[in-house]
Amino acid sequence: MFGKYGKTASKVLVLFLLATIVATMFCGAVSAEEAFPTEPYDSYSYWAGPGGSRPTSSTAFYEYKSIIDTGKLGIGPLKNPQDVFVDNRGYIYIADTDNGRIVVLNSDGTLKTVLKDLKYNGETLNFKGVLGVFVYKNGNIYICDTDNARVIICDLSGKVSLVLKLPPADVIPEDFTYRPSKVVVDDDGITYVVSDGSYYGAIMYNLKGEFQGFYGSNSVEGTLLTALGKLWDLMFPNTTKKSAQQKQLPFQFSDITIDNDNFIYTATGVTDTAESSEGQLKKLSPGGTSILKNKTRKNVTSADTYDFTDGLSVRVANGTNNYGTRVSDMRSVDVDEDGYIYGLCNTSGHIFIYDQDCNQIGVFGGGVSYGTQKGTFISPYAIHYNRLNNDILVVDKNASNVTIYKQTEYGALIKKAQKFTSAGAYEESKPYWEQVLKIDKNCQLAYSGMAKVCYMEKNYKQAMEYAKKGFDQETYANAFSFVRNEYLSDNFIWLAVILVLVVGAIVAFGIYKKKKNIVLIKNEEVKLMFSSITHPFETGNKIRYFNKGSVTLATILLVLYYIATVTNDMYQGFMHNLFNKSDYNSLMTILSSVGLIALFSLCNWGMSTLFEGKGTLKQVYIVTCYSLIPQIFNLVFQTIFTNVFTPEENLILSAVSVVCMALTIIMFCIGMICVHEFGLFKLILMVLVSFLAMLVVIFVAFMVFILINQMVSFIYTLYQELKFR
Amino acid sequence: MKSLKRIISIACSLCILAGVFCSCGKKEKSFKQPVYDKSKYSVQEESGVVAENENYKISWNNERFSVIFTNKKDGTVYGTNPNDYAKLNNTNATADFNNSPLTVQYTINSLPYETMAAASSLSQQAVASEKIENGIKVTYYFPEFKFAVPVKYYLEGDAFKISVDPKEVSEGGDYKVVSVKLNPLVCSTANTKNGSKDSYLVVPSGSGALMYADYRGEDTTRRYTAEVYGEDFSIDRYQDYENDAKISMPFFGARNSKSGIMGIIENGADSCTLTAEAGDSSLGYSYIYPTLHLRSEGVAFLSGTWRNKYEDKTNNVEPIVVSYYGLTSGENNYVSMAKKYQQYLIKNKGLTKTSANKLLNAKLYGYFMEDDLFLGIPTKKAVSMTTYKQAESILKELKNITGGSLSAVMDGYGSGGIDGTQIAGGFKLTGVVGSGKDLKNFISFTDSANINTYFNFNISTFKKSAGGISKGKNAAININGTAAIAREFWKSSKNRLEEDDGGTIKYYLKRKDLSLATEKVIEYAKKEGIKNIAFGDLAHIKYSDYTAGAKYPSAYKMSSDISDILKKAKDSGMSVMAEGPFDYSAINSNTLTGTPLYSTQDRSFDEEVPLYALVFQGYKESYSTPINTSTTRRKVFLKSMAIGSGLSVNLIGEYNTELRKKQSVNFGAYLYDDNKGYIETFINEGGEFLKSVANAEIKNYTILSKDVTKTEFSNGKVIIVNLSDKAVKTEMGTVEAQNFITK
Repeated sequence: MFGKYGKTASKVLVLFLLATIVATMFCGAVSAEEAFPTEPYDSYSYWAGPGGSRPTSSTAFYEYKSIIDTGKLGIGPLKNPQDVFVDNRGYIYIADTDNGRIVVLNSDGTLKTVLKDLKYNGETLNFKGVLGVFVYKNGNIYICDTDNARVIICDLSGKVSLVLKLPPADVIPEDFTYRPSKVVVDDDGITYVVSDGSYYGAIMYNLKGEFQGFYGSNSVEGTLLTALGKLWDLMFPNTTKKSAQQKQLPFQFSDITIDNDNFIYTATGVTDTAESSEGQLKKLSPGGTSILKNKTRKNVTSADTYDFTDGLSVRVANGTNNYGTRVSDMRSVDVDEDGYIYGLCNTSGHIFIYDQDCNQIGVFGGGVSYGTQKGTFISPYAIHYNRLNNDILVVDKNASNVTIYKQTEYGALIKKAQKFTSAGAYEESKPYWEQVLKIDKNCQLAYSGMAKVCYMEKNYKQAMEYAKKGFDQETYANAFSFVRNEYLSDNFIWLAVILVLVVGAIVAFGIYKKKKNIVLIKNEEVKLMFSSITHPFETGNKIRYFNKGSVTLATILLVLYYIATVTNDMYQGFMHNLFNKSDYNSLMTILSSVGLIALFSLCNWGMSTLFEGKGTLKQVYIVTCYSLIPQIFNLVFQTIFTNVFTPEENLILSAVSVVCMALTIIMFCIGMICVHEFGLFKLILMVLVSFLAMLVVIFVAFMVFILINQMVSFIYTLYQELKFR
Repeated sequence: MKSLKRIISIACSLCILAGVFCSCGKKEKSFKQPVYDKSKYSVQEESGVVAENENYKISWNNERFSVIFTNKKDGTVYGTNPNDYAKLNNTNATADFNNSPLTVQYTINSLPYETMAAASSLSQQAVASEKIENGIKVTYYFPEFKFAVPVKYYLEGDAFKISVDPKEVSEGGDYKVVSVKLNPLVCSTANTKNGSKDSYLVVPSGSGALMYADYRGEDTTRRYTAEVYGEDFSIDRYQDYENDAKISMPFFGARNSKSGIMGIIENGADSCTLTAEAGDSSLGYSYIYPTLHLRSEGVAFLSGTWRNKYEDKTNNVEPIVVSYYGLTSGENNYVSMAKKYQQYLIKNKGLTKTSANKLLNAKLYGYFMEDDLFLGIPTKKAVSMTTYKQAESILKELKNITGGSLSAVMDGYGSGGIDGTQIAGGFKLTGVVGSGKDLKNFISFTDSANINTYFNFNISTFKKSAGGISKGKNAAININGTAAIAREFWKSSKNRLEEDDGGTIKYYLKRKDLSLATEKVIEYAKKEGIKNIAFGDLAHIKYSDYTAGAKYPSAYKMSSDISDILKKAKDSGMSVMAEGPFDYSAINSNTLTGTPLYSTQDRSFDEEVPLYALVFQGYKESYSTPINTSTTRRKVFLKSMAIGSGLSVNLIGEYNTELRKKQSVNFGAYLYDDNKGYIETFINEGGEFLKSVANAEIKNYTILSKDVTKTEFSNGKVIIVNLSDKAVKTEMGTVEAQNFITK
């Protein structure tokens, strides 16, 4: 089949494939475990790249400062505390849940007072089970007395001024169970109360404690399947289905906070039962709609589809040497005066810092439910940002303590730099980004920031370099266009001269060739191959009736197609390309290029017999491979010119792509019509059937692969069992 | 057809036979476990003094089955059941734990359980005792489980010792003894009132820590437990969620206002866990004790589920011996305990003085392997981080900054670079970092510049074959019968970084082959003219090996094996560096780098104290944790100043963004150009003082107040370091925030 070079070619091909398969099993990197690490927990950020984001070690943004352990203060230890707040005087309020008290400390950690068993209208208010605490700017303390379905408002001396209970209102469902868990108050004195277990959103009260309505519930995520399912049930209802119907309800808020501009932020624990969840943090408009936008990529999207956590389920022991997994649970949120959002994940114990565009500043903390070291957690429940000194406080319910973190110099630099960058003040951000990179070159945000700085300074080459590291395709493309234009304008004269010379040479050669009857390509087979582009019918007929066409050349074209595909994947311009060489699987590329063509040829030939097609396997193969010529050209063109044209100039690239694809289809159709002696309609039908046949072959191959895999697995398990015996 | 049938049936028979016999083969010669014999209950020693020397007296109480040790210097009494002598008004006097000289963890049907001696052995009077030389041997029988644990209490030298020989533990039924919590209340102190700092427990975690023994309320017991010398790395892990500092020295202590006691695990520390419990509200005591692992345990996936797996004992176990020292008033503090341990090392383990600290140790990284593609085929490309020429240039500059007081470590110059997939870097140090000539020139430069430069050869793990070492022949075997694997873990989830995600699997070298690998390293180093070597992470890991015929269960004898390796290297004329070394590695090395500045910073710890530096500063050339691996560089600098340790820094000559993929190391902070500024600042600021204490021991260390410490050196030098954010007035003057003052 392959002619005189067939044996060698097939050997080479086999070796090539083997090498690919073997080399696919590549290795990464490892480092020795440290005996004496300086940090009890890790800090990292995510580095975005073509293959997605990957955690990257970072200098710490926050360092451990101290732990609040009330056992040392003589008032007995905390018992399952679940909230903390620092007021504008620096007093620290801890909701000591199981002890039913609010412990108030001075800013230096000494005891201020303990609020417990408050008096109100002759009644003693015991708030055992308190889940939330908030202090208004006027010093009023809002205590979520969860088990007693009320919010108590008092002052530091314990004098109660108001108690907010479930208001009687028509809009509140009868079966609504009021369990206030978190509370905030805005500048107008409107109180927002999150009720544990409620999916209606926060309950609003005015200054007098009157019910004002619900605010900002989560929406239900609908999918096409659920919608179709509902439609089917509607069309064909029965009592069994009705009783089994489950109402899809929105997820409840687990925490609520407010920023300086009166915007409400919410955290919604687990938002999916799958491995990763999304939209855990929200910023709500006055109307209660989510307004946080993900501007980390060129296309701005809603943050409702953004995963604010690590996105990987955590492996946890479930007490019997078996391991289960738990999804991320963004339990608590707070915001600082610059708009930086701090999210606390209960599952991993990590604190995530984001800016208003969902750019991740960094992650720190940890414990993964086992944390015994300072700065790590067992079950972190609440986070609070102290605006007086930038400290972060985190309540650990199961460890019954509050950890305080202090911002590091590095953390302060990044936040300052990013603040300027977000505001467009690139010049002001420069010294900060430079310092950040001096401390830690693993900060991708810094490269992105510096790219913008260099762009504004018209240092376009440097901007491109930084933008590539920062994975900022937009800035890269913008800077590139200036560099290219500059190059063109600087070298216009000699480029124009070269162009004129080349065109002139081609024209002259063409005239000369015609005059002297020079034949460029002497080999008939090669001539035929190229003529398939301009004379597809003639070529098709020659292949069919005169047994012309070369399998060797067809195979060479196939190999070239693979090489062009790989080259295109690897060397496309950064502005257009999302290629990740670490994850690149050349085996898949081979299967999807060479493999697919070969399979199609086989299936097409096989199916054509059913349709009385006259073409042989050899002829089908040759025609299919010859029609790849425009694609090879297109891939080479794309590889070169994606490094020349910016995404805004995509039209040229797209046009060439379309033309080449059209040419491929035309060549293929005409070729098939000729070799099989089909009409167009029959050709289309046969191609569809061929695709079906390919699916069947792939499916069978897949099943065989699974069976072999399972057989090997079974034998290995047997061997292991016998070995352990 | 017939012949085909014949072939198939022969093949099946062979398979079955192979399966039957595959578990046979070279079985470890297992010793005969003593059989449980309850008739020996009747062997009883009379109450009274059973042994006495100039330091201690051992008394036996055969009604309470308690052993009491009296320190003859001050009359302080210690014992297995403190209620007998403590005379405390303890409402929990009858608590089983208070009255149990030991707690046994056992297994049946692969499930773990626990029983206290008071609840079983003592309550049923199933205790036998017999006098031995200088002491008494007490055997605790557990009739319902049919096992018995003999414990020896005896006097030797200036200590009283307690030992358990795993080979003497007898068993008679399905219950198997796994581990023994040994005499938890011997090293103990009664709880004090809330806030008191009079009493504390001394924990050798990392650099060292104290746990105050004050009672802070109901259910407020602070508990810390960790394996001595870290976890067994042969056990395959699914998560690595801690950044824990290991227990670096096997000594511990307890102290109150009048006296103290310290314990040293003299033998078998590799197979021990240390547990400290402070402010125990139910018992009234704070205590610290070792748990002796007499049987190895691990977790294996068997019959479709995870099960505990226990390894039967072999001949490869020795008695575990813990020696205790009573401390009188004046020596009942952590400084004295550290000094006592230092003396113990000098007398018994050969700790000797080597050279003085230099001002700075610079660790330079060679190259890494970057993922690359050739026509779509995944390959690896070597990318240099610091070539030999760059290293020379960097060291020249650092030499100028430090005035020549400099040493260096070269890491990741072998095959595979910092990824080091071959044993000892494939015994090769050239490539993208430089040619053979470059290497020779570099060695010649460091020799002439008098910069001790250590080349790091990792011999504990490997992936690919080199030097005759391969996975099939030389990989250590874990308790599951498979190759013991070294893994990487995600920074974020702490889950395993699987190979599909770019992680690397490496194998631990067979324990019996470590010596062979050492010899190869020495041979190669001599050939290249290298005089200073290190062995990677061997100074601070331990792992078991269940290779048939050469078993090392429960990381048995890891410390002595490593000590032998380091000694061998030294005896061959090499100068040896140990990185992050445990005590046994430190003793047998010339230079120590990455010495601890912090404990594991467990929430139960109240103070950080430099136990490690109290032992080794002034004896070994020491450099603390690299400054640029820390959050706050200045803090690391100040802590190094406080203990007189040389400074240390990790450096690379050029940064590549691909280095961000390394999960456990932040190379982004290592670029020399970014670091040289503050190196110079720190050397200028603290160099003079560090030079003055370069070979001085720490005589005393005092915590003046929170984050303010005072260190007195043996040559009269004193330094007060203030790590807080406020200026502090001290006896030597006002110390500014994040600063120091010297005398």
